[in-house]
Parts: sequence; C-alpha cells; structure tokens
Amino acid sequence: MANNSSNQSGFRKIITGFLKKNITTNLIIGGVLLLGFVFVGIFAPYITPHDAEEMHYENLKEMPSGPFLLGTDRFGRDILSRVILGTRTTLLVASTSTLLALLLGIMFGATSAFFGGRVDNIMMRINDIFMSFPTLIFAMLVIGVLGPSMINGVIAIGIIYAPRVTRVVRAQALNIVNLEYIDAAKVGGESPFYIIFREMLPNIWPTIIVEGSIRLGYAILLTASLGYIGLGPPPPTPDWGLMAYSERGYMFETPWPVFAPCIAIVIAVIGVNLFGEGLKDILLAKGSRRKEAKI
Amino acid sequence: MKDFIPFIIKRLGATAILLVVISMIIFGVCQLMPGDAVDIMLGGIALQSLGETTIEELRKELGLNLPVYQQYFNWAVGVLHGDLGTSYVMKAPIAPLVISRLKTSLLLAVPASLMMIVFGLSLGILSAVKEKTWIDQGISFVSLSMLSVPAFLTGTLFIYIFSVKLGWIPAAYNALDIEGMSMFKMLGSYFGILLFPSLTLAFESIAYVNRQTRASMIEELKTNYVRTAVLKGVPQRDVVLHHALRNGLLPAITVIAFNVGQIIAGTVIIEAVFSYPGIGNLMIMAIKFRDVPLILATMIVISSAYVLANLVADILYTQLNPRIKYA
Amino acid sequence: MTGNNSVSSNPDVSRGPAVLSVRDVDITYYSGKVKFPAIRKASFEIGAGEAFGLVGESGSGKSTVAYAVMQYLASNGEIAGGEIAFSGTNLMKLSSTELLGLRGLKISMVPQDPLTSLNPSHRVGDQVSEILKIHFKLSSGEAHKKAVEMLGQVHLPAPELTALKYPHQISGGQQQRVLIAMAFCTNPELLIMDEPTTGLDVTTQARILDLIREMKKNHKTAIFYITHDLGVVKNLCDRVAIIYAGEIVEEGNVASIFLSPAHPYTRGLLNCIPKTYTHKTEKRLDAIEGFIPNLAELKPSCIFSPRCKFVQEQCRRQAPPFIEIGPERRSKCYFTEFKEQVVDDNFEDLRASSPSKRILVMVDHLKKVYPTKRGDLRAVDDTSFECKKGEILGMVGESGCGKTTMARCIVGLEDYSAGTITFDDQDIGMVRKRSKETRRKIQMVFQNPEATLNPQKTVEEIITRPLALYNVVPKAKRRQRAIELLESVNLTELYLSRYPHEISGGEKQRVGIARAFATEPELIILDEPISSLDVSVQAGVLNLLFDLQKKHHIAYIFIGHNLSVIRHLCNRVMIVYMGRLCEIGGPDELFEPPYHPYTEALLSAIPVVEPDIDQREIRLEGAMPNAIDPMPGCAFHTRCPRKIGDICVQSAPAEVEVKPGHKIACHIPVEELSAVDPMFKFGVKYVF
Repeated sequence: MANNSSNQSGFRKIITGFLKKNITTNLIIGGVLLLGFVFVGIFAPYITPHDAEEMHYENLKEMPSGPFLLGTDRFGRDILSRVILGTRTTLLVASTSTLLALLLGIMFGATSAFFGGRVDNIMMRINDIFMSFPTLIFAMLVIGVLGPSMINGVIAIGIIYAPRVTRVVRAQALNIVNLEYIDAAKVGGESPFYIIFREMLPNIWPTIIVEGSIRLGYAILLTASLGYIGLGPPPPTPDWGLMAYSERGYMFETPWPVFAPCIAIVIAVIGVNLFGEGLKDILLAKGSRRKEAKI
Repeated sequence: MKDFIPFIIKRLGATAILLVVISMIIFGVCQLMPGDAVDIMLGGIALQSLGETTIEELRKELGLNLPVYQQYFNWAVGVLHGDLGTSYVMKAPIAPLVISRLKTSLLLAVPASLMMIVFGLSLGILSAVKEKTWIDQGISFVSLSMLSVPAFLTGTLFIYIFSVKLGWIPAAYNALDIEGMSMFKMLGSYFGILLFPSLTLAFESIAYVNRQTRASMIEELKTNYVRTAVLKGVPQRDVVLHHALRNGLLPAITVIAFNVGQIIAGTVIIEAVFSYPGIGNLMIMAIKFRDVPLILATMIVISSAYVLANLVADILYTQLNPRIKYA
Repeated sequence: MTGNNSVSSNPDVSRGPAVLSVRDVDITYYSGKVKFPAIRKASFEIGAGEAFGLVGESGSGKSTVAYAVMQYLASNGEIAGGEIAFSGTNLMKLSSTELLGLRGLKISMVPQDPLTSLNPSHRVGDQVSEILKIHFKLSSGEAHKKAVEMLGQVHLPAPELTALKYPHQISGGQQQRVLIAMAFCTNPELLIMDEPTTGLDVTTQARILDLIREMKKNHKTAIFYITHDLGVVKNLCDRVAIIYAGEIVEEGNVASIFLSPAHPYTRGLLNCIPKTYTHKTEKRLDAIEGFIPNLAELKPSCIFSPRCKFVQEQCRRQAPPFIEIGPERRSKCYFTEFKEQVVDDNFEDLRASSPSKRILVMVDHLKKVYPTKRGDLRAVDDTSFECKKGEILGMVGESGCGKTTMARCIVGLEDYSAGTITFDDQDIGMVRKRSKETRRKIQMVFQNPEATLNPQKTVEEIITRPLALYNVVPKAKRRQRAIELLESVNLTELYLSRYPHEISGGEKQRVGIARAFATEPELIILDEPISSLDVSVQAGVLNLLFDLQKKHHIAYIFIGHNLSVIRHLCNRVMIVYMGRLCEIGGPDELFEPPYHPYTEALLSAIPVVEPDIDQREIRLEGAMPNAIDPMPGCAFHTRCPRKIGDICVQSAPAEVEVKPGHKIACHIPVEELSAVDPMFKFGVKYVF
C-alpha cells in the first residue's frame, strides 16, 4: 500500500506528524515561546506588576532590582510593565496584518493560477508593480500619508505583504492546476469557485500555513521597525520599537530601557521562526525515499 | 548575441514604464496627505496672519491649484530635467541634496551588498556540502538568529559595545563630516568607522542569501544530473563547483536581487540608528515634516534603485539560464 | 530468418572470467527504525560481451541492484552481505578514489530519465568531453573532437552542431543517445542501463535498441540491462533474470525462458501481455492477483506464494531453493511442470455486443492551433472521424501527434480553432457552454493514477460528488450507489473511507474509472489509462474496462501507444501522426497489409514477446518536422521509407477507402500497399 505522506491534508499531517514523532525541538521551543507571547498579549493589563505609566520619582533610571525586575527608565516607569503592554500592540498589529496579507494573497494567487492566460498575466504585472517597493519604504509611504495608528499600520503591512504571499500561493497553485484531478473536476462540470476552493486550496494549506508563520515573523520586525522610526502607533500606546528609539540617548546610563523591548522582539521572532521551521518539517517534509546527495 | 540587444531594449522599456507607474502611485498617495503645502510651509499660526489673497498667490505660485494630473506632469518633466523640486521645509532645491545624500548612503550599501554576496554564497555552499554536520547546524542556527533580530537592535548593540563601552566609533555619525571628505579619505576611514553600519546593514541579507543558497544547493545535489556526474567519475570538488553551482546559483540570483533591495530599504533604519546622514535619514525627516516634494523625491530615488537592482538580476538570470536564453 | 526476433546463441559471448559477478548480495534500506531487506541473496554473473537483462515490475528492486554495483546507494541503504566483483576485484572494498577511477571508465551507466540526467547548463558536447578529459587526460580540443566523433557514432544528426546545443534543445531520443555516447566513449567493460527507453516513443525505442546492439557488437561491452519490458529484453539480451520483490526467481538464456517459462511469476508476466495475434474475442488477459508483499514483514514462505496460481502447502511453509532445470537455467520453485488449468475463455461471440450503426460522436475537420511567436503550432490538423454508439475506438500515435489534444477537445477541456464536434447530432462547444446533460454523457479517465484523484478527498467524496452534481440518484441512495460502483471495479466498501495515498496505483486508476462511470455516460474517453501501471496490473484493468463496456454498452475512445493493447481491446483503430489521420480501420485490418507506411513502422517497432513470430524490420530515419512550419504535403514525408516523390512533399494525401470502414491516407496506390509482405509471420520455427 503506497503511503505517500507528502500528499496528506495539512491537518492530518499534523496529527500523523505528532504520532510519528516528527516533532523537532524547533517546534516545541517555538510553540512554547509563541504560546507564552499570546498569553501575555491577551492578559497583558492584568499581569503587569506596576502601572505602565506610573512614574516612580524616587526610582529614576534604576538597574533591575527589587520591585522593578527590568529596571526603570528616565521617568521612573517600570520597564517590565511597559514591555508587557507593548506585547499586545505588537502582536495585534503583526497578526492582523499577516492575516490580511494571507487572505489577499490566497484570493489573488489561486485565482490567477487557475485562470491562467491573460488574467494571470495582468494580475502578475500588477503584483510585480507592488513588489517593486521595498516593504519598509511602502509602509513608510502609506503611514506617512495616512498618519501613524494601529489600523493604518495593519493596512500598510497587510497590503505590502500581500503580493509576496500571492507569489507563493500562485506558485503552489500552478503546480496543482494542471494535475489531472483538476481536469477531472472541470470535465465533471464544476464551477471555477468550487474548483479553486474545494479542490485546489485544500492541497495548498501546508504551504499557506508555513508562509503565514514566516510572514508573521517579518511582520513583527516590520512593526517594530516602523515604531522605531516613529511611524508606529503614537504614544501613549506602548510600542517596542518606539521604546527602543526614544531611550537610546540614555544608553550610557542604563541600557535596559533600550534593550528590554529589543530582547522581547527577538524572543518573539525567534519563537515564531522556530515554530515555523517545526511546522515546515511536519507539513512540507518531502518523501524520504528521495536519494540523498552522496558524492 | 544578436538577440541580446532587442531583449535589453525591451527590458529597459518595461522598466521605464514600471518606474513611471511607481512614480504615479507615490505621487498619488502623497496627494492624499491631509493639509496643503501652504499649510505645511507656513504653519498654522502664520497662516492666519496672512491675508487670503497672499495665500492664494502662494498657492498659484506653487502650482497647487492645478489639477492633479497636471501637477504630476509638471513634476515628471522636471524630474527628467534633473529638477526634483524644492523642499517646503528647507526652501532649497532638492536635487543636489538628494544626490549627495545618495552618495553617502551608497558608501554603506555597496560594501554591504558585496559582503552579502560573498559571505552569503560561500556559507550557503559550505552548509549544503556539509549538510547535517555540526558546521551546517551551526551556520543554520546563526542564520536563523540573524534573521530574527531587527536591524535597529544589531545597530544599537554595535553602538553600545563599540561606542559606549569601547569608544572605537562615534555614537552619532552626523558628527563626522562625511559629506565634505574626498573619496580617498572616505575609503580610508571605512574600516575604522563605516564598517559597522555597513555590516549591520548586511547582516540580515547575509542570512537570507545563505539560507536560500543552502536550500537550492541541497536540491541541486539531489538531482539526476549530479548523479550522472558522480557516476561519470567526476571528483567531488568539480561536482559541486562545476555542475551543481552552475544551476544552484540561479535561484540565488533572484534572492540576491531581492536583498539588494532590502539593503537599500534598510539604509533607512540603519541611518536612523547611527544618525548617519544618508538618504534614508532624509526620508524620515521628510515624512516627519510632511515635506511632500522631499518625500516624493526620496521615495522615487530609493524605489528606482530597487527596480534597477531587480532589472540587473533579471538580465543576469536570463543570460545565465540556457533554458531561457536558448528557448 | 531475418529480423530482430530470432535470437540465436550469441557467438560474441565468451566464457571467460565474469566481468560482473554478484554473489549472495543482500541490500537493506532503513526508514527510521524499520529495516527493509530490499534485495535478498541476489546472484548472477555477466560475461564479457554479453547482454544480461534484469526484468521486474515497480518495487521489485531492480534499480537498487544497478546502483549497488556502482556503489551508489542512498545514504539510508547499505549492502548488508554478499560480494560484488568486477573482473575479479571486490567493488565493496574499494576506496572512493579507486571507485572514481572505475566509474565512467570501466563501468558506465546510462540512467533512466534522459532530460533530468543531463546538466541543463552545460552544452551537450561538453558533457561528453568532460569524461574524456577526466579519464584520459585529453586536452580540451582533443576531447571535443573525440566527443563529436562519439556523437556521430550514435547517429545524432550534424554532430558538430549538436555538440554545441543544450539538453533542452534536443529531443528525448537524442538526449538518450547523448547519454549512450557518454557511456560508450571510454569503451567500458561493463555498461549498466537502467530502463533507458522508458518514456521514449516506440519508433524511437526501436532505433535506440538497434544502436545498443550495434555498440555492443563494436565495443564488445558487457551490458547489464534493467527494464520492466519483457519484449525489449527478448530483442536485446542473451540472458535474463526475473526479479520479484527483491528476489531473483528465475534465470536463464532468453530463448529458452520465452519459449518455456519455468517460474509461475514469469509465466504470469508473459500471460499478462496482450499477444500480437489475439483479439479480445479470443482470450482474456491473465492478470496476477494480489500485491507485492510488505518487505518489512517477510515470512519464511516462498515470496510469490500469496499470489501464485499453483501454490501448494510446502510453498507456504518454506521458500524453495533454486532448482537447475536445464543448462544455465534455474528457477526458484519446487515445481517444474504445471498443469495449466484451461481458463474458461470467454469464447462467446462478442460480435453480439458489437456497436450499433448509430453515430454517437462525429469529429469533422477538427483543427487546433496554438499561436506562438514563430507561427501557429498545429496540434490537430484537419482530422475527421466518428465513433459509433457502444464502439471502442482506439487512437494510436506517438508523443506530440495530437491525440491528447483531440481528446481534450471532445471532452471539453480545450477549445478548438476550427471544425465541428457533434455529439448525439448536436454541435457541442467547450464544457462551459455545454448543457448539463451533455456534460453528464461525456466523461474521461486519465493517464496518471497518482494525479487523477484529489489527495484531500476520500474515495467516497470523489465518487459521490458526480452523483450529487448530476443528481443521478437521490441523496439517500448515494452511498449505496458508490458502493455498487466500487464493486463494479472490483473494490470493496472498505475503500470508501480511504484517501488516495493509502491505495495503490492500480486501485487509484480503478477509482478513476468508477468516477467516470458514476454519471452513467454514453461516451468515455480514456487517455492512456494503463500506460503508467505495471504490466501485471494493466491486465486486470484492461479486463475490467472490457467487462464494463460490455455491460453498459458505452462507447470508448481509447488513446494509447501500445498497438498490442489497442488491438486487443478495440473495434476500430485510428493511427494519428502530427495531428493528421493516417489510417483507420479494424484491428485485424491494421495488422495486415495494406499498411500506411507509418502504421507499418509502428508495427515493426512493437517489442514482440512471442518466440514464434517473425517481424519485419522497418526503421524511421530523419527527424519529426516542426509543427509550426507550413506543410502542404503529407505530414509523414520527412521520415517515410516509402516516399514516392514530389507528390508527397507538395500535396496532402486524401483518404482512400480500401474497404468499407478501412481508410488509408497515402499517395501510394492501394494495390502497391497491399502487395507488401505482412508484418508478422506466425508459427516460425524457433532456433536455439
């Protein structure tokens, strides 16, 4: 009985992957970190040890000690609390924009691949135009014009990542669109809508999920970078990037206000990336019967 | 060869059209900015003290009463003549400013790109050949970390270690009179000072290129024609460098082009971190002050550089891939 | 006795020390913790100048043996025991440097897939001269000259020019010749060939086999030829071994094995192949029931016993040793004589179920062109034919002839550029414009079993979907109907909940057939439905298709490239070349003169398995013309061995009706065409 695992549905693969112990350390560590961040993000206001805005005039610019686990900044605010609150902002913006990008990408990519010909040509030209802007630049343009806010951030990042996702989805869809079961569906008289969503997409899920996790990592970085140059959500919303920027002048005295949010960013992105790698190992593992390179 | 010229011309034509479309998009988006140039130039209070007629005259002078497409056309014609407009805030022509800032940014971007190509490719090939050994695992781990760290963090770390703690480099580069230096002095001081921003700029891209090269080389080493080469009796070094690399390089070119773009865009952040007087910093300032002509100019310049890098990569790819060259 | 069919004892085979000696070799693969003993106790020898065939189906491990000889197993495989010796040297004890010295020089390999086996970024000539530079230390100039010479030896046209081309610029047959040139250029002592003609057209395959024979004669190379095609082995090899599930079950010289196969598996394989002179009315194909056993759970019984028709108790208890049944012949079976049960042949006169006179599908002057930069590519070029209700119409042609395009136009997947397709007396267009009823009546079975089912859907979902879409039965009865459909293709209810990756290739194809039958169509187009299946599986599916057709009286348009299969199944056959019709008629009429010259060449290229048939040799020289260039004359004239003159170049031949229902499109007058010798002579005395 042939057992070609690379053809299984994504969900089944995850289950089979778990059972076959395909779980790599990547997946575990990444998963734990990710869950941690989601947890913090959801419950942020309830778990801050201090109020993020409260200024403790007696404890300005302190190193980590006692009640202030990560120290205080030049206004006496507890850094740990601010970082915790910042989690919410970053996660919200990053995940929403990633979802937006995925949705747009799936729609355009699958449709373009299915119809092919002129439709595909035109859509890809338009796609290429949008891909001609480096992500940061375009985001800066959109936010610079519309004004910094969380929603604008989501829109900007979502729109700028959509073409990249479209490319990936389209490439995968092209692999499938000429396969015979799609022909069989056409011969059977199915509508294009049915074919795209019920025949093609279920076979592309693994790629989409992996791409989504990669995008999420980049989205977090982009959100932070935008915050750094002042185009993130404006104060008083706590934002990791903004924190890193505004405190840098005072690095001489205490590095923690700058590095604490930075470390948070790094851990979040590493968590997402590791989880993505782990997912990739389960979902996209090529059939192991392929001869490995042996020179 | 005779096919080459018409091909290049077609490509250049397509690129030109692309640039026009991009400029239109940027122009269009900028028009959405709330407020008017006059508001920006004069500021709220000053505006009220002037009479209505003066404001109207000012508007006319700036050409703001013309319909949008006309404004665009005027601006585009100006660009083709080398005139990038006048800054609202600085009240000076933009072109010379942009050019000099561009030069300083290139001083970072070009070495960064070179580093990316050299280190990215070689580490990628090494990882692929030594797949699954500790060398490979180590490089992969380092790459993954490099990709997870935001550019401003690496830059800030460098500053913290080498400036704050060690005092090797200045904390803020705008203190250096880079613009005034001659070419030689610039290159000479490179390794002492400019290395760090450059390296920071290249960091993420090295990791990216490395991972992609590794992945494509691994795929290459599994192909049937590599198998044929081995069975022909070709020694290992030649198999890797002569057979596999030739094909494995192709996807890497695409990634390298993409990352040249990333580096160009990355100058924005790096220049912010190091307070480096380049075009990225100029763009940030333009946005902060809502200086529309300056935003336009810097955006166009940076986007054009990105498009050109992609064009070069495209041409290289089609020339190096016989399946496309001799269809 | 002329022709490539009379294999006499090869005088070139010396009886000196064996060039390749494989003794009791065990090869094991590791997948995670599981051990797969892929090859068990393989032993054979190949002498100098001898052609040795290794025949097996997919999963038999034949390629594994080849790569083991080259010491090139995947990293999860190892040679667990035994010895492989090349001219006395134990290959397993050599260092990698020593191996480098042998590979390509003394032992060469021609791999299976020519396009992917050549480096797409290197010129073809360079890939040949590289070997010469490495092993003979020739300079670039000298190596290049020798490479061009070699390319000429393998009959590549314009070798100096071809040497400068890239692999994607030459055809599949030419690519394979390049690989053969690469293999022979160092005059190796042993040449291993792994299915070198799989995927090539029949006529190309015939020429490649000729080439291999010629090279073997000129270079006195020992050849180790791996294939699944018994016909090819018969035409090329001196000795052969049959391998099943990792064990060699029979070995001996080709002549005697084909005349009287000893092992039940060999017999089964030979019975599966449609004979050159039978028709479906005369004999059903004997399929081999069952599946290849799971190698991870081997039992001490005979490896073939679960599927053997002659199995006895002792076979199930203990695997038999090799028994010598003749000079240089051995078989791994306890028995040497078999009482062949007379299969209850369906001698019912199947002309009773012959098609009605009513025309179901009519294709009239169909044209399909693909516009390209350099001109219009004519895929289908003014073809007309019809298919009657309940008829099985075969469509035969080589790759690029347009048969798939025609099929796709009829079934509605492609638009056509000119002409009409009439179904049930109604002009029909593309699927999207057709009525639901029309769509229901025309269905299709596809070629590649791995791609024909959606991997994310269960068998039940796949089969019930058409039932639902066309409301063939009300919702409550759909599951039941699906079960009935499965049973009609010899599968059970258990398959409903399975996913495609859980069932085998043959089973997937059956599900595809069930799906096609679900809408109760009147016409089913089958595009090479068995070409991707193993020979033993093919027979079962063919029988199934035949039974279903008889039961439901459906018309088939059966596209294939294997004339024996087509002949076995079809009422009428059409031969297509470059989008044009060459000949159309009943299968018997096609196999007898008058022949269209192309039909003649196709018949001559069939690798015949029966030992007592003589086959005339006709080879096509020249290249296929470009389908873009205009061609006012006969499409075949560039390669036709019977070209009569300018008339062939200038005007396209009209269809001449030789007999009612039998048409040939050729300028040669029918009397001349009828005057040739028939392609096959039967009952030929077989010379040992």
